[in-house]
Parts: sequence; C-alpha cells; structure tokens
Amino acid sequence: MNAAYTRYLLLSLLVFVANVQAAEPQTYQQAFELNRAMYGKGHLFTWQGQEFSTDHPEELDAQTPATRDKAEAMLHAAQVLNQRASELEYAWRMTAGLLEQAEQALRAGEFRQCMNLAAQAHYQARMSIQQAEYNQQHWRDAVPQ
Amino acid sequence: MLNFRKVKPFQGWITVALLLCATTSVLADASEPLIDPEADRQALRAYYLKRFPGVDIQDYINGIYALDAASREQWQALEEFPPYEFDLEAGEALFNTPFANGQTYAACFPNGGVSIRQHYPYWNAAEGRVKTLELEINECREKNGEQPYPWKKGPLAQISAYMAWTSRGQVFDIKVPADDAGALAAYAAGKRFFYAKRGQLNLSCANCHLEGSNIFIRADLPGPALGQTTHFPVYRSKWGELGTLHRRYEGCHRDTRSDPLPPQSDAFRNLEYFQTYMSNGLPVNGPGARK
Repeated sequence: MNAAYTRYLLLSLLVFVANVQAAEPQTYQQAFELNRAMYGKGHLFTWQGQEFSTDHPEELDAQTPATRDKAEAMLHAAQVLNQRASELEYAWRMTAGLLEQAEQALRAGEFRQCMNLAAQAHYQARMSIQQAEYNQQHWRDAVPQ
Repeated sequence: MLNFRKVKPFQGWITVALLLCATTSVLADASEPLIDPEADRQALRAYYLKRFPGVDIQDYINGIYALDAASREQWQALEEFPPYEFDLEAGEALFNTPFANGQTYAACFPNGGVSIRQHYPYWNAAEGRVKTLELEINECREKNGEQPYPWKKGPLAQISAYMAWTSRGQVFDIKVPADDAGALAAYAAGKRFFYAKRGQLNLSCANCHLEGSNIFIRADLPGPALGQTTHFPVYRSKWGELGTLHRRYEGCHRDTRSDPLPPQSDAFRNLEYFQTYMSNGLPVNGPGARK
C-alpha cells in the first residue's frame, strides 16, 4: 500500500466520521423522531446517556390497565382536542372516524380497543393543532417575493 | 437620554448596535401586517415568467395545458366537442326560466346577469364578507321564494357556467379596497389559506399549484396557481360532470387528508377572493374542461 493511498483512506475515514458526527441528533426531539422513524413504536433508545421510548405520550397512556373510566377519559380528551382543531379549521380527515370507532368500542365494552383508537385520535388532533401553530409563524416563507 | 460622551468607545458601539437591532426589529414587525394585493399579483406573475419563460401570461387561463404540450393536445381534441355543452344549454334554460313568483335571475344581478363573471368574487362592505357568484345565485333563489341549490354541482353549476359563458373574454377585475380593513383581512385570510400547509400530508395549495406546477404527483400534473379560477365551473373527466370551484376546493382540501371545509365557507370564499385577484388581467374562459 503506498503513502498516497493510505492518505486517501485516512481522509475518507475522517470525512465519514465527520458526517456521522453531524448526523447525531442535537435535541431530544431530533433523537426521538430519528428513532421513531427508524424503529417505530415500542423501541428503546439512548440519548445523552439516558434511555427513552419511541412511543408517543398517547401510546404510553394507552398501555395502562384498560378500564371503562380510563377509556372514557381518553376518548373525552381526544374529542375535546379534535374539537379545538376543528375550530382552528385544521382538523385532519381520519380523526373523526377514529373517534367514532373508539365510541363504538366503548359501547361494546372493548376498553383496550377504545383506548388505542382514542390514543391515535388524540395524537392526530395534537399534531394538527401543532401544524396550525407552526403555520401561524411560517406560512409566509412560501410566498414568492 | 443617553449621554454618549460618558460611555467608553466600546460601550458606545454596543449601545449603537443595540439601538439598530431594536429599530430593525420594530420595522420588521411594523411591515408584517402590510397587505399589498397588487405586489402579490406582480410577484406571482414574475415567478411564473421566470419559471416558464416561454409561456405567455395570457395562456395561464388554460391551466396545465399552458405548460404541458402533450396534455394540451388531448385537451384541444376534447374541446372540439366540449363536454360542458349540454350543461351550458341547461344553464341558459334555467337562467331564463322565471321563478314561481314571475321574477328571474336577471333581476338579481347587474346588467341582467350577462357579462359580469369578471367582477366575482367581490367584497361586500355592507355584509362584511366576500360574495361569490354561486352564493348570489342561491341568494337570488331564496329571495324569490325558491329553495337554494346544492353548492357543488347540478343546476347551480350549470347556471354559473352559463353566466361565465356570457362573460367569456371579459378581463378579471377584482377589487380589494385599500381603505377597507375587512376586505384586506379577507384577502389576507385567503392568501394565508393558500400558502399554509394542512392535513395529515402537510400540504399547502402552494405546494402543488406553485412549486408543484407541471411536476408529476404520481400520474397527475398540477396546474399553475396563476389563472386557476378563470375557467370555472369545469367539466372534469374524473367527475364525469360539471362542478363548481368550491367542489374542487373541497376535493383538494380532502386530498391533503384534511377534514374538508364546506363549499361557500368563509375560508373558501376568501381563498377564491385571493386566487381570483391573482388572475386579474386575465380573461374569463369558463366553463372549462379538465382531466
């Protein structure tokens, strides 16, 4: 192996390491989104020496013991949040359907199913409100000047 | 008051810098609420002139057919026997048929309802809202003791198509009165709707119809924002019938996986106000035929 080739290899290694370093998430949110995108829910990841789950708060909530009270509370919270999204004219299309299915599950006494569906609806409503708030600040970025 | 003689040079520079920052920030905040529809229209035109330099601005009334030669060829073949022809005939008959009380649509509109499409939508200061042509057609019906038509298709779209037909070639001249805060707010709301991302797919109107103009989204080529409202109502091959602009708005909104707003909602009327103002200077060419 000649010297020039060695230098080339070392340089490539340095560039690779630099890129890996640059890709390291800087914030918890970045770390969460990266791991969620790569592994989906139910995965544990380490960030800054601490262990976290890739589950959304709603998904963690839905993993608690399934009772009528809990299912009703989760459904109500999701309905209230989606109502807020509707008032902002930012509600998402599938959320109402999830809420309807959750109500049906509750009526059928399927509390776990109700909680899972309510968790999905709550997450969608939360994201749509976040979208509305983001737009409030950033919609002008797309306007041609 | 600051006494610059008492501060050391370095401190002085810091003070000047802080004052400059404060002034710039105030100016930036003050400029935010400025609403200048004409500047927006010119900027949109400039965007398309730069993006598609060979395309005549007037040709944007033809939507995607102004930009894609293959689609244009198919469309021109379709227009040899326009699919909206029967709807035009039906619209004319409906328009001229008196209501049960003997009154007609013509009595509800300026110039007997002929050749007026280019002035819609408009800001109605007395009512404090944007009025669309379809809204006023249904208001005319209700005023004369008739039931309003459904907003998206059928007789309402046919009457609107006939009224657009009588206005063909007239140049859009939408007004946003600079001294009317309500009109400016409605215009700004429409503009914000156009550029704000919505729905689970996080898409704005602009994503597809500005940046996405003439760029494939799966098998479809989205049309340009400029001239987008001039040819409505349209006979869409996908629908297999005539439909109104708000039917299309509802469909687009749904396609972003938003819970779609209803036709003739404030938001959609404001959007139409903004979009049609962007087409000022272009001629009416409705009804149109689209894929």
